[in-house]
Amino acid sequence: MATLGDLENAIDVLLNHPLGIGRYQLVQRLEPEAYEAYIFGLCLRSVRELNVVPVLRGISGPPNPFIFRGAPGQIHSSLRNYGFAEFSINGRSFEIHAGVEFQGAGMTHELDVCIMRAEDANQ
Amino acid sequence: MPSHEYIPQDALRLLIAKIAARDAGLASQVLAAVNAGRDVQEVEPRGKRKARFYRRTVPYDPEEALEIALEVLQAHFVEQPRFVNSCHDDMSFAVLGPGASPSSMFEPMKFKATRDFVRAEKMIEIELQTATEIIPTETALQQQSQEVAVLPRLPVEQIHEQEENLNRLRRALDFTK
Repeated sequence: MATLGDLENAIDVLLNHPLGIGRYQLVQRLEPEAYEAYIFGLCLRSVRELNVVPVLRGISGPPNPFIFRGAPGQIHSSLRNYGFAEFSINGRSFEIHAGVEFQGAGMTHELDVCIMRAEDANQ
Repeated sequence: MPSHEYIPQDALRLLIAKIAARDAGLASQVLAAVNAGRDVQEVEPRGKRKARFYRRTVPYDPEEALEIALEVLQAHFVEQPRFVNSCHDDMSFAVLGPGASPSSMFEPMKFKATRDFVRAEKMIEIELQTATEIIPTETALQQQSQEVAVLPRLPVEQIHEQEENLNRLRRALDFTK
């Protein structure tokens, strides 16, 4: 028979684990961006599956560390070295960005993760 | 003879109380999920006329609510760490290239990635305070001194441990037997 003590113990072990409440409190503000980073990684994986090696770059220097935006912003920035990825397929260059804004239908929208032609990114 | 010393309602209250004692924000998320209810389709017979169908939201049964609460915890304690590690895995297969200099941003990129590179871990950071933020969101109450947070790879064994901890809790909350 499952006792109340067993239940309390099972809850405590889960919450007190290093990946429990303590880590949640550390990363809760980052969770939406961490999910975007995950999707960004899936885009890189898709490129790799096409036998193409994606290149990580920074908008103002080598992307070490690779910085993801905390809020949507312009694709180019002089304030922080945000990361993006570049790859070429069939002679065309593309870029993968996260958290960038674009103008469409008269208003600004956010693209959580996007793959765009390099010439469009550089306009 | 009952298989549990407690009923589902009591287990749900205890689970939420224990989460709330540690973090009110997470407890609110669990509560919002269990209180959201589920959509059901209702049929209203109308004699010889075609029956009318409509949808409405009904509360979860206590057992269902427990399952929903566990899903929320699994998302934070198991799936989110897996997202992070998946991102590290995928980033490690990409080449670290040079930055885009202001002049090259308007020219075709000339850097070519070699296919014979060695897989390498990358340091990943996420902005906490956006570059344009003059007054941090936390403002007067708590000044945010850190501008970015490192997103480290997490130990796989710890993720497995949490998965097992969740399964153990799930077994303690299984009232079907």
